[in-house]
Amino acid sequence: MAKLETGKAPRVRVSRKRSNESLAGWLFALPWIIGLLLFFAYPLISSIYYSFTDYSILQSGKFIGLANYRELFQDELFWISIYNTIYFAVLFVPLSIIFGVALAMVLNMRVRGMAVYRTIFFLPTLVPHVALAILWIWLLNPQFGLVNAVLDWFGIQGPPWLGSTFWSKPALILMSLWGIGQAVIIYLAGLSDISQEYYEAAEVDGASFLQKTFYITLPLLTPVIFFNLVMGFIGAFQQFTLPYTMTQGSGSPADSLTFYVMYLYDNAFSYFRMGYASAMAWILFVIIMALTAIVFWSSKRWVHYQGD
Amino acid sequence: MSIRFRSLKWVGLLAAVTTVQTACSSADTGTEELEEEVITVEGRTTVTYWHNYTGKGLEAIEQVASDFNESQDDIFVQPIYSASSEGDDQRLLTAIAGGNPPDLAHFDRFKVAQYAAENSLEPLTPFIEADHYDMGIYYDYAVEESTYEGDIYAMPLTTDSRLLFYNKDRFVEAGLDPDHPPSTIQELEEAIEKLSTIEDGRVQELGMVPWTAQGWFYTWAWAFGGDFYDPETGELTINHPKNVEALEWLVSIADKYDAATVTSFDTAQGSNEMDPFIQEIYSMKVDGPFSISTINQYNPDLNYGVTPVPTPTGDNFATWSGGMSLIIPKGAKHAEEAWEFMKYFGSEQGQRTFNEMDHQMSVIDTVNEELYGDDPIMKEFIDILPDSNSRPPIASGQLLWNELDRAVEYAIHGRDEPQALLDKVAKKVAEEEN
Repeated sequence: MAKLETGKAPRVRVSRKRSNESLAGWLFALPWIIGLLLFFAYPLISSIYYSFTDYSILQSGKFIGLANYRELFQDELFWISIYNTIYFAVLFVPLSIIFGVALAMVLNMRVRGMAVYRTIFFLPTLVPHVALAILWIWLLNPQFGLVNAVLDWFGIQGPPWLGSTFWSKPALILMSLWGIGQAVIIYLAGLSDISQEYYEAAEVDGASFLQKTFYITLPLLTPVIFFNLVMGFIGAFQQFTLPYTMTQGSGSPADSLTFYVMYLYDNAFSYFRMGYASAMAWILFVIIMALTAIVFWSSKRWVHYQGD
Repeated sequence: MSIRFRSLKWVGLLAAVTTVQTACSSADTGTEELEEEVITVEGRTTVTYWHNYTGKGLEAIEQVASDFNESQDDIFVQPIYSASSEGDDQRLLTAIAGGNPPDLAHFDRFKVAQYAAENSLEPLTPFIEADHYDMGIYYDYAVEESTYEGDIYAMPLTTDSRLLFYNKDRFVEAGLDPDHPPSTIQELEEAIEKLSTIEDGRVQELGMVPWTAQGWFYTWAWAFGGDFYDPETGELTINHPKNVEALEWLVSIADKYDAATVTSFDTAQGSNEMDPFIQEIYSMKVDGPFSISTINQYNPDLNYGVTPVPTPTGDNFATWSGGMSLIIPKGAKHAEEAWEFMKYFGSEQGQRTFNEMDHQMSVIDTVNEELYGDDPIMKEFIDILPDSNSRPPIASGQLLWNELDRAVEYAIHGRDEPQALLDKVAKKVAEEEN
């Protein structure tokens, strides 16, 4: 927890004298502080406690120590859901960065009507997940879907996508890549942050487009890539809405789309095992925390801030 | 820059911990605020009654409530719409957990045992005994499904059953006799083959996908003569040899037509007007009476018939039934008065009013005979009811349902052998039950 800071935290000076000003400040902030403690800190702390009980929402349950955690480690579906989630995250996050950066660079060119193109690429992000799921189910239909029809033109027989246990996750990754508009906007902001001077200097030295990309653009984009990487992992580990609506909560075919949070939800609200679900939530927290820590630790090696 | 990213660890913290909370809100159904002021009537006790009906069903419920209100002077039943679905009744769940439930709730019978096991429902047995109320007027399976550990917790209201729907015109085209639909599993296999067109891996039409629509594992296991539960001993028989046979048969169909091809073809099929049976892409399906109105609405000219789900021997037809009921949540303030309304809704009169208006099947045979005796299709659905089954009324009913669904998926995709899969389900549910 404490080792995550990259730079030094700015010291907040606490004045010895309780001036009226700070009292007024606290008073003004009080409604939010109470709200935070009541609706955030309290549920958070209680969910730690609940993870050691067999709390069922309807009954408070009794303290059972580490039994939930022990059972989880022997729960086959728990491991399947972890495998699916990691598979998705490990493939989706890097792909979303590669496609996101590439798309941002294309959308950063000075072409007439660029605003229109940017809008077009951002639009899918605004589509609700449920609608997105239905749309892609149609696109990926092996009989009359557009995706396989296009593959047909190239003489490739398309896979049965959502019908096969092997292709269902790649299909989901494909769907999710559709919604990278949000990340692209952040990359675009990062690109416009890069000073033109670098490019002018490179131009004078006769650098090619590729050299400019790999020696100027990408290194100076690393802070933004870093941000999107962390946020991407946090989001990917919580994959829920799209697969849940697509499979009506079943994770079919054969649990190939049962993700961690889907199984957590089932335990909490279908089986009334809120204690078990709380334990799952905290394990997920530890996994995301550890990953974030690794990314932060590695960032010293590959993230370059302008002016450093 | 670095300062900005210090907040990231908090983002991580928020993200991970709020998972449970966001899971709740993502299932939000987004209904508008409705008038829920409790109405008080001079000299009467108000009974609040939560239900999730709209349209015709809502009219039917309001009719039953107003008939009851006019029939006596002490109680006023107030129906209140409360959004919920089969798998998701979070409002009632939190109301009971928070100790502020309605006096009555419309409730899927399938969930009665699970809630009763959580000590969240008021047992009706004391009321039944005090009034010498006869539960024998209802179908046996409906009462069985309302019972948990010897106590009755729900008043059954409606029911359904599952039959094989078949498209008569397609039968004629394929050279099958539309007046003699398949009755044995072998005849069914032949019909599926004749009614399917698959050209170089591309499905044009299918005779049937047995595990779709209402072709749950329960449907086929009972058809094969299997069973899940002995109400006398309370013993679960999930890996019954006949159940294994049923699953093996499903696997044989999946292997013959390639599970991945069929599944992806099926995934793209929709519901309502896009239902593959209504579109005449599938010539047969197992479904319940609730699909009749959909057919009438979207393809009224569809020439179809219904027949019991085929069995290996061509006799001993079986089906299973679910349905709705009324419950009194634990902590209800007016349980006595709620029971009075339950008796009225459960009576022939209440049953007739509601089921006639909402076109549902009643849990009383004489009411069904009266409402649907002349309807050739509906008659098939009610004739099979006396021998119908209900899913085991156990605390882990939902877990068993999901696990069986999973077992079918694993089996048809060749992940494991039917026997091993059902043994695993049996073990998991037994662990959960004890």
